Amino acid sequence: MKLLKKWGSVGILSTLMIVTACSSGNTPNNAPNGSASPANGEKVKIEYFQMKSEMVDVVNSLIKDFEAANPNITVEQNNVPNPENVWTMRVSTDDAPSVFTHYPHNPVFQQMTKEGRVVDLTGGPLLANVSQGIVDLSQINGKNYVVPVAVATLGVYYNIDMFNELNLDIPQTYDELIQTAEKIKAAGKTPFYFNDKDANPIRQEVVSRMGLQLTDIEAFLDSVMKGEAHITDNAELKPFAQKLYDLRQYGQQDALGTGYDDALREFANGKSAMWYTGIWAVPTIKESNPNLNFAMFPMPADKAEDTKVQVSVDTALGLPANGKNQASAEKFIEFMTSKESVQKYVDVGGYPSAITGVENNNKQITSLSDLINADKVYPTIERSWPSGVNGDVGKATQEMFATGDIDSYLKALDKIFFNKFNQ
Amino acid sequence: MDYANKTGGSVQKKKSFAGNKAALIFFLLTVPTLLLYIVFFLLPLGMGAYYSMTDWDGFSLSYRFVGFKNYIDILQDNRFLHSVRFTFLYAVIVVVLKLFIALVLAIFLSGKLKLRGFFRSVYFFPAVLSMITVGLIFNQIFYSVFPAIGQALGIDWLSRNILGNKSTAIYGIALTNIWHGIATPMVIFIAGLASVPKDLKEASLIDGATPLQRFFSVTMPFLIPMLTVNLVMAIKGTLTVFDYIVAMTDGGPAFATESMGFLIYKHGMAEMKFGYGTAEAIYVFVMIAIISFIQIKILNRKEAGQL
Repeated sequence: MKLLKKWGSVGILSTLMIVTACSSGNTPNNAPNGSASPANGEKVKIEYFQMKSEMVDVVNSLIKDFEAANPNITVEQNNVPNPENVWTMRVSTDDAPSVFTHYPHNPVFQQMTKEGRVVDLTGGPLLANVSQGIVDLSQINGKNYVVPVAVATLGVYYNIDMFNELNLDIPQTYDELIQTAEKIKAAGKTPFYFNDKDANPIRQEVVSRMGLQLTDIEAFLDSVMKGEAHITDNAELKPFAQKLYDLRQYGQQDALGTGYDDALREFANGKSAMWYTGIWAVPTIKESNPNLNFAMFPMPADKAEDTKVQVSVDTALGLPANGKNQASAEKFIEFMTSKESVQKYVDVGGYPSAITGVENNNKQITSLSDLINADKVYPTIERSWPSGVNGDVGKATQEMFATGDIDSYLKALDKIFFNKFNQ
Repeated sequence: MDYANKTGGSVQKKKSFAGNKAALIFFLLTVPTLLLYIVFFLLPLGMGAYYSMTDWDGFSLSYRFVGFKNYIDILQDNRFLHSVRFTFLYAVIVVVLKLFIALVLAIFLSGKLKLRGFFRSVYFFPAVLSMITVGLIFNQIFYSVFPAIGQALGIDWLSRNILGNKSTAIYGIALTNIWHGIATPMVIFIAGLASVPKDLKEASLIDGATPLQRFFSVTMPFLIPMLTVNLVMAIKGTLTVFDYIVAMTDGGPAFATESMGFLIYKHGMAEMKFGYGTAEAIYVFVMIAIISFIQIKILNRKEAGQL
């Protein structure tokens, strides 16, 4: 009896402890939400939720500079795996970080701005340093919700030594690109390495090349998604798909079995002359083979004067609506988007900057950043596509590379896009 | 007297009261678990069932109640139906091969063998590695080792990365799972083999039974409980396969290797169709519930017959 009583109370006690443990979990989070303001000389803590793991160190050093100038504000950097989902989860549970980075072309982010979860910065002082072309590119329904700092683009990586050895020039038109590939192939080398095992890089290639090589494709796809037209109504798409497929004959033997990491390694080891992907691969290539002499050139359009580069925002800072310590958070954004901070930031990341007056010190991407400075840019056309559409496009293209069946590919694209906005 | 009577009565009473009280305490003892079960299992299940009838995207403030629309749409969704076919084909391949090889290995490792302990450790080793690590390692093997073998032997389908081909990718994933997942059923079979009484084996040997007869008539009945455990675990593991696919093919090439679990994740977390994904999850839940029910019914009967 006594024993039972004893254990009974232990049971109840443990229940209570579980309950209190659960409820006490929330209190420390809410505590700094109080009316602490810098005026009282009290310390304010803000969280900077940034999504790029390779930038953690440079961001920490920037934060140190900021804290030295603003002794009342402590900034805590937070970088997690799978950051976009974590951000979504936190914002939808009213636990938004004080300052965050996000991508204005991301459909979830766009939905969040529609619901008023993100501060509208349009025309505000925070955007004063940003170059006008990129301010326009990063708008969502005509409004700016983030301050762009750095942009990403794609281009053709090429092995300079191999180009010199074969006496090749940088191709200026798409036809020249094919001729160059033909020459490299004739010399017994692999012109391109493709990473067609992964659907995501395929998607990046298709989307960026659609924007470059097809006229008014964004407006046309919008009308398809509204249900006003079909993919097959556009006569340009079939030759375009054929082009995508035909380029594969200049690739390695088993492109569909090669993933992004494999292609990167093979290019870094000098196995191929060219590789089409984003500028984000530059640091990794340098790391895996410091001796490789390489650079990038823009994917050429059909005519040399039409060559432009696709620009998507890579790092952009934003504020949540009803965030904590908003004034300090704004101060921090101002600091992070200043010319000096951004210069340090892009020197490490190797990305073209979105802030005017910042120089590009990454010689591999000079030809791309020159085009950006000359405003020869176009937005990524997937920015208006609903969630999941771009992934489906990547997978449908992968299937086409496997079968070579272009008509089914166009049908598959039509199924993906048609009437999507009304579903 | 009165006092004595009183105490006597209270003793009488106390007995039934003690019985009640014990029951109460036993009940109270279950409360923590019961609460946890309700909060973390029943409640989410109910919420999931509700969300499966909405068009919620997982984060918006507003959503609409759409009734059974998701459930009807799923039945016409080729992608989901394909993932069901893929998952069951995968389950059959992996369960059959994995248990067969595990059994053969267990018999081999239970026999008279030099360095038996060493070999047991060697064959158990894969179980120590994490699934993602194994997936990534096999990715490299399929990329660089297998094609070299295939080319040397002149086998066409093997001279390319088998994960990059729609018709062979499933075997690549299955092979990885089998290599990695063989250790646990093997250990369970070894334990089962050790429980076979020696006198029975000896008796059958004296009676002149062939090795095959000895296995099926003497050893097998003792292995049935282990087989049940292994079957349940293997079927559960393969019907919910997810990690290998993420690490190796990400559902590709095209949509060829999307399992049910992977597709639910894709729909719910990547394509922001949370309500739809939840409805798919509920279909899978019902499916696995039915399979488990049948499985337990059949295997229980077998086990009863054995004793």
